[in-house]
Amino acid sequence: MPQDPLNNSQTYILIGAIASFVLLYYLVIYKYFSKSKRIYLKEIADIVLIGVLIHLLKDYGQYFFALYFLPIAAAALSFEFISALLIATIAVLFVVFEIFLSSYDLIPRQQDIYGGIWQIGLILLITIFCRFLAIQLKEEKSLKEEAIARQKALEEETKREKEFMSLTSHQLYTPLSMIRGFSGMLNDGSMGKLSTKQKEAASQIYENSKRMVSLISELLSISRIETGKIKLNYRSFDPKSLLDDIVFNFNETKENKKVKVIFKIPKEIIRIEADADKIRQVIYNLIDNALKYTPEGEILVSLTQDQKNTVFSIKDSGIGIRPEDYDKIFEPFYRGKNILELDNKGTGLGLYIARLIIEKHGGKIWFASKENRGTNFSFNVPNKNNGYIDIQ
Amino acid sequence: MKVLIVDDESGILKMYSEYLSTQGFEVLTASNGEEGIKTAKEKKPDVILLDIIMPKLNGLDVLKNLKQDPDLKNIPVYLLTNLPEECSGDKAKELGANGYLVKAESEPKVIADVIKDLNKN
Repeated sequence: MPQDPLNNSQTYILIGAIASFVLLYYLVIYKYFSKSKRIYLKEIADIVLIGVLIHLLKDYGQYFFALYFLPIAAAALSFEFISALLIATIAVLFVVFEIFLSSYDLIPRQQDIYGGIWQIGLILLITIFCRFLAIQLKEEKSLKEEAIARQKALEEETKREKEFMSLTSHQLYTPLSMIRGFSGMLNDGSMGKLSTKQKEAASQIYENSKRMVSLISELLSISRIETGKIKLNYRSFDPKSLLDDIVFNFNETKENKKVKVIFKIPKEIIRIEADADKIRQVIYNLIDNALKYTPEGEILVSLTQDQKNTVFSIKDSGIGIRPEDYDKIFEPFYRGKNILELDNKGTGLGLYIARLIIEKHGGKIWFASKENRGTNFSFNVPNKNNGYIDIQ
Repeated sequence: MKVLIVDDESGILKMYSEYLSTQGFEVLTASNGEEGIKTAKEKKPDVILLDIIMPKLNGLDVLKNLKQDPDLKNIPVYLLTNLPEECSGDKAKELGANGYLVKAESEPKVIADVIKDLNKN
C-alpha cells in the first residue's frame, strides 16, 4: 500500500509553495513578456507543474512518469526545436534532481538510479522521435506550401505579363492606329484630293505606320514566346487544307505576278496536331520571304509525312543566302546584305519568330541555299500522337 | 445601314465615322460604355463596333448587357480594340461577339469591308 504523500504536512507546504510560485510565474510572464518569449517561459512552468505532479503521484505507480511525454511531444511536434530541447532538458534535470535528492534521503521516496537512467533514456527517445516526426511533417508541409507558392507566383507573373502586354500594345497601337488610318485615308483620296507632293508624304506616313505596326506586333510575339507566356493551342487539323488556303491567298493578293506559288503534297495526308494558327504564321512568313527575294520563277510549297513527323518545305528560285550569313539568319534583327539591297523595310524578325514557334512545337527549322539559285526552307512538326492518327 | 461605334478616343471615332460615312453608312457614335448601351436602345443600329478599355462600362460588360437585352441581342457586335486577341478574344467569343478586330491592323477600309460582308450574308 503506497504511502499517501499528502499525509506529510511538509508536503502540503511544498505543494502550496510550488503552486504559488507557478501562479506568480504565470502572472509575471503573461503581464511582462511578449508572446514570442512567453511561449518558452510558459513551457518551463508547464513542465515544472508536471514534474511536481509526477512526484506526488509516484506512489500510485511509476506509469505517471509518462506525463512528461505530453509537453515534450507537444513542443517537439509544434515544429519548435528550441521548445523541444528546453522541455526535454528540464525533464531530464528533474529526474537527475530527484535521484540526487533521494540518494541523500532528502525526499521520502528512493529513486533507483537505474530507474532514473531508464526514464532519462525514455525522455530523450520521445524527444528525438517527436522531432523526427515533426521534421517529416514540416518537410511535407513546406513542400506543399512551396508548390502552392510557386503556382501562385507563376499565376501572378502570368497575370502581370498579360497586363503589361495589354497595356503595351494598347498604348503603342492606339496612336499608331490613328496615324495609319488617317494617313491611309489621305493617301487613297477619301479625304479629298491632294497634290502629288502631299500624296507622296501621306503615302510615306501610311507605309511607315504599317511597318511600325508589324514591328510592334512581331516584338510582342517574340516577348510572349521567349518568356514562355504563350501557350500553344494544340488541335488536330488537316495540313493540306491549311496549305491550300495559304497558297490560294498568296496567289490572289500578291503584287508580284511574275512568281507563282504552287504546292505539291502526297495524296494521303494524315491530320496533325499542332497550333494551326502559329504554323500558318510560320508558313506565311516563309512564303512571304520567298516572294520578296524571288524576282521571277516559282515558289514550291511541299509537304512530306512519316509516322513521326510532318515536314513542310518552301523552295524558291530567288537570290539565295550567302554562306557568311548561314549561321545568323535565325537570329533576331539579322538581315543578309544581299537581302538589304532588295528590301530594306523588313524587320529581320520573321525567321526568328518562325524558329521560336517551331522549337516550341518540339521541331526544327533548317535551310539549304545556293546564292542566286534559290533557297529551300524546311521545318518539321513532330506528330504528338506517335503515329496513331486517323487517315483522311 | 446604321453603324454604332463606341470608343472613348475621339480621334478613333472621327477616323472610322468619317470613312464609313463616305461609304454610305449612317454612323452613330458613343464615347463610353453606358452611352453606347443608351444609344443602342434608342437608335437600334444594324451593327455595333465596340472598344474594350473605356470609362464607366468596359466593352466586354457592354457586350454582356447587349446580349441580355431581348431587343438588342440580335445586333451583330464586333470588338474593335487595341488589346491583343489572346487577352480578351476568348471572353468576347464566349459573350457572343461576331468578331474581334485589332484597330492597328484594321484600317477604316477593312472595317467597311467587314460590315459590307455582314450585309451580304
